[in-house]
Amino acid sequence: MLKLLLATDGSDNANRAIDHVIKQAGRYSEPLEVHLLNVQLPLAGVNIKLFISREDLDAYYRDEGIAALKSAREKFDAAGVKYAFHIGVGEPAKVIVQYAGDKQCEQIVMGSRGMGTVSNLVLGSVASKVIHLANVPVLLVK
Amino acid sequence: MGFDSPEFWIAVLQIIAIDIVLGGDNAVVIAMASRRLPEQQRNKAIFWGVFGAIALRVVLIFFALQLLKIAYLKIVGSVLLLWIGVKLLAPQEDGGHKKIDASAHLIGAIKTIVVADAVMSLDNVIAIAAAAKDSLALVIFGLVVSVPIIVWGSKLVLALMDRFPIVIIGGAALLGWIAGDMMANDVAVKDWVVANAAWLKYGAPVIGAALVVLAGKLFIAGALPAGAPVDLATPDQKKE
Repeated sequence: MLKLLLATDGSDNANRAIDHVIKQAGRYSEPLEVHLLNVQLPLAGVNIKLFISREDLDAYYRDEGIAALKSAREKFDAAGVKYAFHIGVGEPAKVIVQYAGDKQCEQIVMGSRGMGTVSNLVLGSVASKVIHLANVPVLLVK
Repeated sequence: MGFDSPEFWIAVLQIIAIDIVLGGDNAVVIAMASRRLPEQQRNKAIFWGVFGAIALRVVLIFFALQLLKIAYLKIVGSVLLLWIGVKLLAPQEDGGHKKIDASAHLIGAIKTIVVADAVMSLDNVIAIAAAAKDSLALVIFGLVVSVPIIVWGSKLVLALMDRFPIVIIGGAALLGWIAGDMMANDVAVKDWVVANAAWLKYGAPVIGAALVVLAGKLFIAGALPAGAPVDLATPDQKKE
């Protein structure tokens, strides 16, 4: 069984990565095991610590994560490809690589550029950091 | 303080930093408090919540300058700032009774937002007033800068804080610094400090900053190291 970790933030670019995996799925002789992952950035403000409970914060991450995973799940459901989905919290590149190790994935697939140009400018590109940290092959889809 | 003095520009930078650290997450707190409301009410709650956060700052700042002239109130204010500084470094606590709920009712959400607005505005105003050191122009500047940060203060600001922990430690140290400074400038102790302990002019801010960072370090050391990633999707998967 070929295990893939598919990281998505719900952006068009990430959706193209999903389309690619679905297109490739039929070409393998063994079935694919797809792990869908969305990573939420942690919210670390002092007022959030003061006023928002851990539970509410987790519920918020979960809602946002489910929303970001929606288009990917619809695509997989429509294509009849089986998948598991996960929502992580933290620095995206680190969490993606951690998950890939955790689920023993043989490849990481993701869009080359995610949500925002501004975020990329100040936070750096997630894709380039994943390439840096990963110890399995990384497939970037443009 | 004039435009040409270094103190003025240091105060300007301090005020911008305070506004980012204390105002950057206000919009997110308000949005979270209203997230369980139906969509139309939610947007209304968020609008009035942000409006309230700004209006309260305007009102509070008028009183703050007057109030801080009363003996001992600067000391009280500086203790509050020290506490906020330590909180900034503390890890997210597990839910307790004191935390506010993301209420499903409009009244509940409003109550939550009003309480949060009051506290968030109070600490921000005290910190601005302390950094501005009686300069009305700087106080107004601090207020003007805080408005766009509250309105557009986004998850990006928070993500930056998480990405670069130095921002949080620096912010906490800054709060400790201005708290120490404000304490030494309280009406009740000011003359005594000038006459007997002039070193406190810089000593008190340094002690304040060191106190906050040390207390924060204890918190960080007490927190568990990050282990395997937490998967928040699991409970939902079981449901489906």
